[in-house]
Amino acid sequence: MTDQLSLYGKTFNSRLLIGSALYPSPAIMRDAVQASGAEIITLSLRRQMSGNGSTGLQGSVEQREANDIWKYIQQMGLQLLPNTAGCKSAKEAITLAEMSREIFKTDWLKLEVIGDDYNLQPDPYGLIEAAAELVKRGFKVLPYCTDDLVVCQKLLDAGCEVLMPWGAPIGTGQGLLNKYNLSSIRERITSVPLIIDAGIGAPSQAAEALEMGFDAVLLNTAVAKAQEPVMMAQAFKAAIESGRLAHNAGLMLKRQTAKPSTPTVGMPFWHQ
Amino acid sequence: MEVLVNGETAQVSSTQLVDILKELGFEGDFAVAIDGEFIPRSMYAEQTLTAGNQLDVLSPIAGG
Repeated sequence: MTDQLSLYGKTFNSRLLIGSALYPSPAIMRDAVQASGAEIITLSLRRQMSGNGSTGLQGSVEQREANDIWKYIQQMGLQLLPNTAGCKSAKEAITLAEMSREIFKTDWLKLEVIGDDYNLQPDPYGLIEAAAELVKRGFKVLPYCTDDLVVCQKLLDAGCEVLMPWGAPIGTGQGLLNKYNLSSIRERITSVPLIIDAGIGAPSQAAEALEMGFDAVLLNTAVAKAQEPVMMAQAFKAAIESGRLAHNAGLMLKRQTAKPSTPTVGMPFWHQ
Repeated sequence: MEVLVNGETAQVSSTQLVDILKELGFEGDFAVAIDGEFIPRSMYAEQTLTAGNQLDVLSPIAGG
């Protein structure tokens, strides 16, 4: 049985989208991404530090590392998913999106518009405004949003064909903090793929997201900051496959009271 | 003239964007914005800057 993930008309075997940041080294990033089986990788844009004008940072360690990461990502041949991390208004996000499309030669975009620095919570108003404009400009927008059903519906109205509600704030590893909200979104929105983006800290949490019927998971820190990132990437791969299988198999209904699993007919003599 | 390049002041001798990028030594894959507006690569040859413009030159990095 084929059970592929379909996003904006492209199909993928893996249901894990992975970030490229925070790894101990570019080589470990490459190895972990490959071990994860992910076919979609997030990346970003920042001010180039190799200019020899005022910056004076030509050949800096940071710029060399950024160059290596970009080289490895190109070699891997995955679907690129540039983000607009750090943008705090629709205008900033739209400008960064246009710059990303030119460099990365893809109209796929992980749209982030951040409303609060404390928990990096998406600004729903800026997000919806930016999404509507970017869809008009031909972008395939994957918005990073809160677990708010109405915001999700407005993003659909704006033309998004994938939604990415958070499990918990970025980098916290708290897992699926509001399962009621998330399951409500899944129950109400069945027409497009839903991806849990951010907050996943453990493979069990990723498995749970898939069990709940989410189509995929996007994560970064949980793998990059593990003691053994490559091994953790394998763990997430297995957990996500397991969670999806469990969802397809259909979970049993929870019961309040015990029910014997061993047949009760033909009980031995001591029950007579 | 003096412009703001990636957040820092810089003296440049040209007014043409394409020449300024060469003068400042930007290389590899990058995209450009002036005063927060995206400038497509096809416009580099005809785009000019004036004193005080804010030039942003962005390149790929890791991201989550």
